Formats: sequence, C-alpha cells, structure tokens
Amino acid sequence: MSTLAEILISGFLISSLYALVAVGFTMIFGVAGVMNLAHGAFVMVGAYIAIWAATMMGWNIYLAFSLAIIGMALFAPLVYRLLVRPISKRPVIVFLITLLLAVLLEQTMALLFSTTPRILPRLVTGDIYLLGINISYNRIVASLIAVGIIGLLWFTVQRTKTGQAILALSMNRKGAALVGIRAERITLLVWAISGALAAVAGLFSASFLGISPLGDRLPLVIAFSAVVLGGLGSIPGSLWAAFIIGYAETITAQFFPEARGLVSLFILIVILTIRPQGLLGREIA
Amino acid sequence: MTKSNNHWPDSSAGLSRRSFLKGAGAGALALSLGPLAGPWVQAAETITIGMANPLETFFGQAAEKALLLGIKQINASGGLLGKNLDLITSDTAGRPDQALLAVEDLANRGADFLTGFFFSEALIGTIPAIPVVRKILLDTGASTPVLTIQVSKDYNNFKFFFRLGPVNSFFLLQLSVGFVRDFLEGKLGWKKIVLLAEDSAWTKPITDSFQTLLGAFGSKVQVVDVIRYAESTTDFTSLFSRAVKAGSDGLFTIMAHTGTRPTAQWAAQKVPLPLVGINVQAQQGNFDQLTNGAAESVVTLTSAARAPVTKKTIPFVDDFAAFSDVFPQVTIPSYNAFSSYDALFMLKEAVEKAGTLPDNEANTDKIIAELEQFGALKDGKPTDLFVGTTGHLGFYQRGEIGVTPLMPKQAFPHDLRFGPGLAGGLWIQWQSGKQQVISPANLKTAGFVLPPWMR
Repeated sequence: MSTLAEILISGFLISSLYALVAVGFTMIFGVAGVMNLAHGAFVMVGAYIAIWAATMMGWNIYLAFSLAIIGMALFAPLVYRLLVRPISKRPVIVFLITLLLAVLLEQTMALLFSTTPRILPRLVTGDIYLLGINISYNRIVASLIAVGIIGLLWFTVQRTKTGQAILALSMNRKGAALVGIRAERITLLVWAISGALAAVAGLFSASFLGISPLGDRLPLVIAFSAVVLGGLGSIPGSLWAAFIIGYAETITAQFFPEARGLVSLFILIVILTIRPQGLLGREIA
Repeated sequence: MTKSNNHWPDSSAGLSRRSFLKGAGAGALALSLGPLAGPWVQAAETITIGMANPLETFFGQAAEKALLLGIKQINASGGLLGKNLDLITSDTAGRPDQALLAVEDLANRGADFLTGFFFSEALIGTIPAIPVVRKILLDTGASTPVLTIQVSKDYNNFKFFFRLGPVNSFFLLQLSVGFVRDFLEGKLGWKKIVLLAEDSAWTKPITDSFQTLLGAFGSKVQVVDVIRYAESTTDFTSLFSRAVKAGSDGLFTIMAHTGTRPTAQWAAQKVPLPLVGINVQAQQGNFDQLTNGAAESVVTLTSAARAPVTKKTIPFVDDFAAFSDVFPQVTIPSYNAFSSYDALFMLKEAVEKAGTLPDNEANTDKIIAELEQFGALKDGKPTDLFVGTTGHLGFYQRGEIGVTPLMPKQAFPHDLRFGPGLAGGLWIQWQSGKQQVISPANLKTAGFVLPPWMR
C-alpha cells in the first residue's frame, strides 16, 4: 500500500515538471514547425541564471527566479530571430543548429560553473508526512505551480484571442495569414512562452533535484518522448506523455534503479514502432 | 635526440601500406626537424609532467593545484637533475574515450611522465594507449584493480603503471567493512545497514562482497538491502523510501561521481538514517554550499585530511590552502590532490636515484626499477617506504600473492600497499561546516554526530 502511494505521489511530483518541459517543446513545434533541440539546454540555462543570482550574487530567491524566467523569455525569441528564422526553410539545418546551440550552452555553463551539480535554495521550506512518505513543501509547491501554469496556458489557448491565433497558426500557416493573424508576432510570443516554461522547469528541478551542465540530457529526452508519444504538436498528447514517462521512471526507480534512464528511451522506441503518429496524433496547437 | 619511442604497437603488422608510408614520412620529417622544433627542444630544458583529469571538476582542479604547488616547491629548491619541472594538462571529461585521447595528446605534446585519471572508467579507457606511449603513468584518481592485474599479466607492456592512490577497490572494501565493524557496530551499536551505490565499475567489487566480508571479519552487521542506482539518477526520493522500509540503522554510501544530489535530497527529505560511507563529492571544501547546507553529519572516507597522518600531511594541507596561484576557490585538497602531490615527490626521488630521465626505454626501466624499490619486501616486510602525505607508501611486488582475501591468488604489482603503517584512509564527518576526523582513533578530532533531524 505505502509503495503504491509513494509511486502515485512521487510520480505526480516528477511528471508535472516533465509536463512543463514537454509543453514548451511541443508548442514551438506546433506553431513554428521547429524541433528545438536546445530546449533541454534552455531548462539548464534558466536554472544557472538563478544559481548565479541567488548563490553567487546573493540575491533574494524570488528575485533570482524572476530574473531567470524573464531572461529565458527574452533569450528564446532571440534564438529564433538570430539563428532559426534566417534558415527556417531548411529544416535539417535548423535541426543541426539547435543541436549545436545545445552543446554550446552546455559547454559554456560547464566552463562558468564547473560540472559539479548545483542545488538552488528552496522556494519554501518545511515538509509534510503524506501517506508514509516525507515530502518537502518545496516539491508540492513546484508541482502545483507547474499544474497551474499548464492550466493557465490551456485556458489562454482555448479562450483568448491570442490563444486562438496560436491555434490557428499551428493548424495552417497560410490560412492564418489570410485571416490577418500576424504570424511573426505570434511565433515570437510562442518562443518566449516556451523559454519561460523551460526556465520554470529548470528552477524547480534545480531546487530539489539539482542541476549540472553536462550529462543531463534528460529534459531533452523527456521533451522528445513527450512529443513523439503524444503526437507532434499536441499539447494534451504531450501532457499524457509526460505523465507516462514520469510514472514509468518512478516505477523503475522503485524496483530496478540501475535502469532508470532506460525506460523513457524504451517506451519511445516501442511507440515509434507501433504507433508512429503518436498516442493522440496531431490535434490541437 | 627524439623523445618518441621506437616501439611499434603489436598491431603494426596490420598497418595498411598507405598509413605506413604516412607514418614513415612523418617520422622522417620529425627526425630532420627534431633538433629544431616542438617538444624535443622543450624536453632538453624542462621535465614535463602531463596530467589527464576532468579539468572542469573540483577533482581535476584540486589535482592540478597540488601538482603546481609541488612543482613550484621543487623548482624553488633547484629542480630535478638541474632542470625545471613543467605541467601540461589534458581533459578526460571523466570519459574513457577522452581519457585515451588525453594520454596520446600528452605524449605527443612531450610529457615525460603521466598522472591523473580521476575515476575508474576513465583509467580503464587508457589501457590500449599504455603499451603504445610507453610512459610512466602514476594513477592518483582511480581504484579499479584492472590495471594492476594487467601489470601482473603483461609486465612488459604495463610496467609503466603505478597506483599512488587511492588504495584499490578491494582494499576500499576492506577499509569500509573494517569501519562498519569497528566503528558503526563496535562504537555505535548498529546492527543493519543498507548499501547505496552508484552503478559503476569501481563499486561492483564492493557491493558484491560486502556481506561476505563482514562475516569473514567477524561482524554481525547485516546488509538488509543493496541499492545500485544509475549515475544519471536525478530523483532519489523512492530510493530513500526503499532504504527506510528495509529497516536499518543507516545508509552506507558508495559513490564518487554522484553525491551532491543524493546528499541534498537526503537532507531535504529528512531521511531518518545517517549517511555514512564513501561519498567522494563530500571531500570538497564547499560541499556544504554545493548541497545547500545538507552536508551536516555526512561521513566519507578520504585518503588524508588535516591530521598528522605523517609529518608531511598538515604542512601540505596548509600550503595548499595558502597557494593562490590557481583555483583560489579550491582550498581543501581532495583525495587525488594528496596523491598527486605524493606522486610528484616520489617520482622526484626515483628519478634522482636512477640519475636519468626517461628519454629511452632503457632509462625508463631504470626509473621503474627505482619506483619498485618503494615498499620492496625484505624478510617478508615492506622496506624503503616513501613518506607521503597519505601515509608511508610502497608498492606490491610481482608475484606477491595473498594480499587480499578477496582475490587470494592474484598479484597486484605496482598497486599501493595497504595496511596499518602504510596507506589506509581517514573517515571524516561534516560538523558545523567543517570536516572532522572521526576515525581512526589516533587521528580523531571529533566524535560522531547524528543528522540534525535525528538529534
């Protein structure tokens, strides 16, 4: 019983974080048709901005978090404008350039901060005993904020004008242009949202799991898996996928910790083989 | 005079004609330019130490700092055979393939001696290069017994390898089991432990034989669970819960590359089990800061600390802290920094006794013979031990078997001698932001404390 409760709780805590990463990645794919392989690196850079501000410059933690989110919300559109847009008609080159950017960012952070994992100070302290396991408030808050952000995003896409524009753009670029949607502005906005989501995911994972510049390909694998699993460009699909991967990993960690990293890759290959269009196929945004 | 050796690797028979011609052409060019260019000229004026380590990690930086400190001290007192020492470095990034390239890179850039190799996988990666570059290689970072077993099997090709620290994985296991029996069981009354080990080459012999050896050592402590986790693990929540459920008195860690994350999460989760064992990352002077204040009460094994292990230990620790030419943020030597410093001074002594540099294989052999004299057996006792910062150092000899009950028929030539009065280890505990020695008793600076949430 307690094992089940533990899997349910820890699985949820980690999956909600994965969902943040996955949604940011899939939105860019949906709207701009770009597989941003630097998305995992954005997660990491966001965390390091806060680490720099909070542990090296001694800033207040909320201020440091805000700087990281704003920083990535500006950095991501900049990457789009300077690197991706000029070559947007050549998907293979875009693929390559985002991969190179990821490696460049990793190496830069390793140089600036060394490869030792870092932990960010907690947003809230204290902990609670829940169904036999001890969970810090920090993790609960992180999880709730993640779910809240995704909910807000969902609402925005479904119920606001901007959201409808995003949706339209993801369905048909030409059609969207015909009805007067400013594709460029919306694309920049989506990159900014994606960057901010990556930063939030990075901040939370650095504050309870820790972060290191190299070897942490996990966020990218998660994002990739989620997109492939959920169907390219589908937000609900990527949510499903994030939770499937989060729970699969939690269960593996419980019974076979040596193989933790293998599960997401294994699921990815199986789904790709038997259902190449993903679980939900291409649907919304 | 060329520094390149004329020993082709055994595989040279399989070289294609083209690559042979290329090689021969390059060789001819090198011969004709020899006196004018490159490392050959440098070699005449300085003796070059080549260090291969993950340069961007604390362990790479601490080793580099220790070597530069030692080189500065040696050069200030007249150098070695009238020549100054010089350091070149190459990055292994902690990876086997990069470590292999690093060995070749250092040899190509004119290194006379090689040292470094934080972590076993990286060291194992260098195996193919050792018989090719044929340079004395002093391991100061990896504990895998694979290399010294290789020396015993193929002496002519692997005689270049010596381990200055840490003691090999079998001895690390013996040290750990001894600590469990004498300290955790003997002093604290523990009855059950859970092993928490990262899944890598060096931890395998340790987790495999821990329980058996405890019994053989006369301990009644039970290993109630063995948790081996992937090094890429980021979330340790369920692992700690599993350990708690197993019902033990504490967690015995066996981790080197990981350590920061599990420690931080252990404290955040207030796991009701003390965290003791081998936790190499906890040797870092800023471990408390890296884990966001989670270091309190964490115990780790290390090669030495600021304690009178030998007369050289405390002066080295103080010199290291005061040496600010490089990496001023690294103020406490890691285990491989101690060993790197020892390697340098031991090498100096051996070269001076041999009276020659390793400019050809015959001269290299002379230096190897001098290194082999450290700890050579006379009447069954090791003699001519080198006084290092980590203890009195010497090497096992060829054909010397029965050195560990875990592999009684195997010889480990050129492996660091382990035992009382030789090289051993110290158990340190983080207390109020400082590392205190809790064992062995003769070097103890403080008693054991529980994690804050268990007090």
